[in-house]
Amino acid sequence: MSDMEMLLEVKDLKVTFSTPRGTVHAVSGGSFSVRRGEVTGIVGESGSGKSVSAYAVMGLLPANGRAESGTAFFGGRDLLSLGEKELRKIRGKEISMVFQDPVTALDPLFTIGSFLTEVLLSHSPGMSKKDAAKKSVEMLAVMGIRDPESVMQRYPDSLSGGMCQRVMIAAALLCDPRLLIADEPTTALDVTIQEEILSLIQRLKDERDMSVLFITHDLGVVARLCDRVTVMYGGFVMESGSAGQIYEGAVHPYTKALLSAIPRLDDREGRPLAALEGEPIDPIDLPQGCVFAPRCPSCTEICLRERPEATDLGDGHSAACHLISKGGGTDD
Amino acid sequence: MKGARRTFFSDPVSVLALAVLAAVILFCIVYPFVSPYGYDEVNTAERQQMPSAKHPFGTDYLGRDLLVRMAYGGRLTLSVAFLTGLMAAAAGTVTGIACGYAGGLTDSLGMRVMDAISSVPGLLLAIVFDYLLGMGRGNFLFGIAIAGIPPFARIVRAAVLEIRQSSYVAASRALGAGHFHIIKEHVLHNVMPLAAVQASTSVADALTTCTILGYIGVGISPPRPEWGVLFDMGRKQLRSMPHLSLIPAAAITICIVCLYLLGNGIRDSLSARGGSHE
Repeated sequence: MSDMEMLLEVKDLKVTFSTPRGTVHAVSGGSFSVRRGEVTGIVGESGSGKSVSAYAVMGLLPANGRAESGTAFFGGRDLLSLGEKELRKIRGKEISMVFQDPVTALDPLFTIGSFLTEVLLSHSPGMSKKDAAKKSVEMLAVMGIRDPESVMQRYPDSLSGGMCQRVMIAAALLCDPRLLIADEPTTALDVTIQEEILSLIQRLKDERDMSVLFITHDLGVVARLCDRVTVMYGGFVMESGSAGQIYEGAVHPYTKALLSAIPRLDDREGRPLAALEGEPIDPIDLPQGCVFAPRCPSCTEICLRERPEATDLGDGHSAACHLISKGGGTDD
Repeated sequence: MKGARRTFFSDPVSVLALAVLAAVILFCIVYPFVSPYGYDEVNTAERQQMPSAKHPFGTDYLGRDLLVRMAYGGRLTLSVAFLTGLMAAAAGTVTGIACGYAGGLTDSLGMRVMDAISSVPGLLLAIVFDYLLGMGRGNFLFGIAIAGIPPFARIVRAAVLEIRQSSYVAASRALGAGHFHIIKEHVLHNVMPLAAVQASTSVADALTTCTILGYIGVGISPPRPEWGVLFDMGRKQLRSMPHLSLIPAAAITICIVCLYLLGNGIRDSLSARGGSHE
């Protein structure tokens, strides 16, 4: 894999939040990459640091959050070292973001038209209002919205959730970004609408030669859309690799646990779904060893003592687990 | 916004309040021009008259026509009320947005200053300002305005805290909007309805303070016929000529009630939009 095809490469990202209870270690070892024209999925449960990683890359952490260390190279520049002014030029123009709840992501006081044209005008000051409106209408049409002219005149409260998400994606893609970060964009939508939005993202990615960083807790969505998958837990990357490597040849106990928790329609034997015992770790008080050790079915003595390093398994597949670095692999 | 306007105008109470206020203001502006009498025109031949066709509100002990005095006094009282009320509104909105949006130390310091101001009664603040900056030169106006800032700033700040956390601000930032743009577009627009409601309260409070100051002789003073001054002068003849005090009192009361009703009407019409304004 040459550096040329790497669009975004995040290495050893560390993000903390200072709270009255203490320092929250939201992300402690975040490494993932997005290649040109590909979809990388970051999978993890709530609190795994998947969304925070994306916010950190965009420079959009809340006031009490801080990217302590690490790098995030995008087009030869380290996003983590850029100032607010430079980041503002990148946001929306080179990297865009789509959020979980599209209905609240739109300001209720503005029409769809004024929202979209405002996004365009803020990145191209020379553009006339008329051109901006025209381009917005075209973009809405690309999103598969029928009668885009009338949608331009409407307020968000008169649109459905799926429609709002299409509008948000339109806003995100108005300035032709190279990377789209999608933070659980289908979680708040009905299942049928979810499918439509996923197809839309897939189609846009192909048509526009765009890369996507897809953040989700839904492994089914990942299977449907992603070329590469990074599995996160407790702020650490557990395993990453191509979609095939993760689905067919997962080696990390956590990934395996996640996969076995997916209900399967073709499972005629009616086996009960495997649920992972225990609770997610407390991000203020990280365990000394592997963060997954307390819940791991294959936990050994060294797991509680030392943090595992990521082991390269070849072909871009890697996992952070002592059982693998010892050369063994894990049994169920 | 269109829907809110329709709701407002479909409520008879709000419309009535707005109409009465508009009529009072219009009367105060126009009547002094068309009245045959000046507000300080003494006519010893027509002293102490009860209301009549010639003097609809009667005359005082110097034969001055109360109707034109009420109109002229209304100009003073209402302009003080609106001027100081809106000054408080503007300063309160700016303070509230600055504190709410910046957060942290700015917020803590700003709100403690607000606490300090509101620990002094508004009336006392006006008197102190008038005394310190020179009496009789309208410096009490600053006192009234400043006293009106803290409640305004608190309400706006609370709303801004919520707006700042909203998804649409996060989305806007992710699409490349700067802080200035977000404050100008999202924060200001979303705070505006709330500020409009609070502004009517501010003006009503300023009107109360202004007339009390006139009444106790600290604010606008005779011979200028501020409503509080008129009430004070009429009070001395409350038994023989009650209209001299009751008319100014009624005017003050009506204006304050109308301002509050107006504020209620604006609030109701905005909350009637329901979920869309959450």
